[in-house]
Amino acid sequence: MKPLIKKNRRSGKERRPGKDRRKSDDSKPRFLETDTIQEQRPMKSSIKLIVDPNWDEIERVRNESNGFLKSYGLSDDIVHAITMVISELIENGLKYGVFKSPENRVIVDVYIGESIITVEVTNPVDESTYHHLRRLDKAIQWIRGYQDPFEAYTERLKEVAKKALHDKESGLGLVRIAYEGKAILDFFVGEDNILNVSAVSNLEGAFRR
Amino acid sequence: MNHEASNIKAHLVKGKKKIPIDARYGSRHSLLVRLLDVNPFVGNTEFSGLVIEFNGGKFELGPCRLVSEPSVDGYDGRLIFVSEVYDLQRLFFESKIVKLQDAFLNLPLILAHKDKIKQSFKDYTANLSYDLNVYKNLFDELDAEYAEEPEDIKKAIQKAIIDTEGKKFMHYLDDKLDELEEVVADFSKEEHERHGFYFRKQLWNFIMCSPIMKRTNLKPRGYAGDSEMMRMIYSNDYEGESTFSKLMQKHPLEQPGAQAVRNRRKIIAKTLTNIQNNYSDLQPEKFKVLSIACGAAFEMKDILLSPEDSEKYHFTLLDQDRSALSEAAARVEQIGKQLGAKIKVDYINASVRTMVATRQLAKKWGQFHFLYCMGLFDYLTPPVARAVLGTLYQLLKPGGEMLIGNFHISNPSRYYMEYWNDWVLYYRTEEEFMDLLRDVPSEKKSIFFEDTGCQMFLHVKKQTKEL
Repeated sequence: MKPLIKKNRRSGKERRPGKDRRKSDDSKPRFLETDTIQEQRPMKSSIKLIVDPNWDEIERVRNESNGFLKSYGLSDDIVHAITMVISELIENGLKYGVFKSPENRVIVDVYIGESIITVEVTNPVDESTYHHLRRLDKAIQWIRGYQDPFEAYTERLKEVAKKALHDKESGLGLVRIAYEGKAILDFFVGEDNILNVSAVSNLEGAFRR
Repeated sequence: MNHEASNIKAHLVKGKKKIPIDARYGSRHSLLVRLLDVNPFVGNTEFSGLVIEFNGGKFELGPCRLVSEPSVDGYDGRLIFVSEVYDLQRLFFESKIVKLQDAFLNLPLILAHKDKIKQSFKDYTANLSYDLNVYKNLFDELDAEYAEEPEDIKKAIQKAIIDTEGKKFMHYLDDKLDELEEVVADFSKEEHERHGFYFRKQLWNFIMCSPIMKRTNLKPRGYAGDSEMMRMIYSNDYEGESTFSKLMQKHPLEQPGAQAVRNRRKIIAKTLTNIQNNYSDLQPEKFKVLSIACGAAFEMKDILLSPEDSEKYHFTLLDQDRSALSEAAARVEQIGKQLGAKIKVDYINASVRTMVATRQLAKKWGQFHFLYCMGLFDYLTPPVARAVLGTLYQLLKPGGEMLIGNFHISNPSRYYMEYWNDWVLYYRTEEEFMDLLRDVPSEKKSIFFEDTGCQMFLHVKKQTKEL
């Protein structure tokens, strides 16, 4: 294995150690099998929340995740942003999920690593929702095509202004996750047709001082 | 209902009066109208509004003017809008009220976005913009000087200019890249994003001069690394309509990030050949290879060098982009003709993000001796990368091997790609890359780099006996 690059290969200048702040996931799997918020410290670095397919559940999950994030010492801005991300992803899950049996739920996993925080929301889907997956794929690629999610946000706002009066889908949710939530979106459909939509946010400057 | 051809019930508003009319789509921004009562109006009469009813909806539009036109299909004239200008195509065919002026809705937001730009960055961008204007004018003037020369003379002159002043300009761009790196050194992710947006707004016209930068910014196929862009990287040539454009094209292609892409193509061919050599007793079975996110599969030219090579392999090429698959098929066909051989290739149009859902994928697609995936994991976040990697592992035969590429976090072309090209990758350290395999019980796994050090490769060998 070659050593890590120590120099800028074009200029030959040394690259400063730690210069690149965007070190990504170190979220070692410290999974905790729990579906509710636990005692305060020692801090848990992950939480799993089970959501019944019911719109009223969103508020409960918001409160629980909010409490978990605060207990971890994250700044109010980050707590607010991640809570918004969780809400939007749950809404998405409830809207496009297929809940045919009682065990079909939306599941939220939040993992806090050293430098990133990952929110994963899963829900069952079936062939009837595949057209939504194609839209989701396209939308995520489009949003991530911009270095600055602000650009996707303003473009989307412009589109929303042009929407038909009867069109109830603003499509702003995913863009808000990227812009206001400062998160990188991605998704896959796992075995047994479980849709997993994730949002990965950077934790730089995320802790309360 | 064809609203373009048919009349629609509507009325004009003038003061308290409602004036019934027949209206028809006239053009994207005008309507043809016939007044149903006795026509008391002369040309250029203004109305305070127009109300249209169709598709069960009632649409109230703003002030408009009736312009008399001599008998257009029996209509009294044409209505044009004098305040808010509507897109009637979208109104009639999509029932959406869209105003031309809507584009300005975000104006305050966009203008305010520059408020958090650091002065040092503004200075840097302004100086760069000034300099590029000077360079562009000079190169354009030179181009005009010899524009009338015969084609071969023109080419020779342009080459001479590129080799002299062009080279100096490239060095200038190198220096400005170093300076960019210094200016943005302490930026947070969010600051990089905001300053990148500002940078491109300021330098947009120069960016559009370079075919490759134009493509990565506009993303005509919805993503940056499409097959046309790969072609440009591989050809590493002076492309463009002017000397300045050619230089702006060539400069990013000479960066380590682009060289890494050229290097990895060779590495695929070399690795594949080495592994295939271990299967010399495979005949009559073919050595099965899967390329994930294959794009236009340029590397096939490096792999298939003789008719014997085409006998050895059975390729499966997978991509979400149908156009890229078509290009790959055309390339394979061309190679087959050149070698006078039939090449066995299956094509799969699928997204890796949804293929994971397919149960027992290995039964459906079979298992492979070797699979490789370049230019995909740079876009996958850890949860997705892990899931995809797990699926790919299942697609390997026992003892099979895979090679996965990912740009390293210290890619020296990173800021060039992000600021100039609006091209963001998901970078990883070796540890993070290796950690994606934490749930995969592989026999051997290692990471190595190509020569520039920008790109790393995860090389995995599956256990000979499946657990």
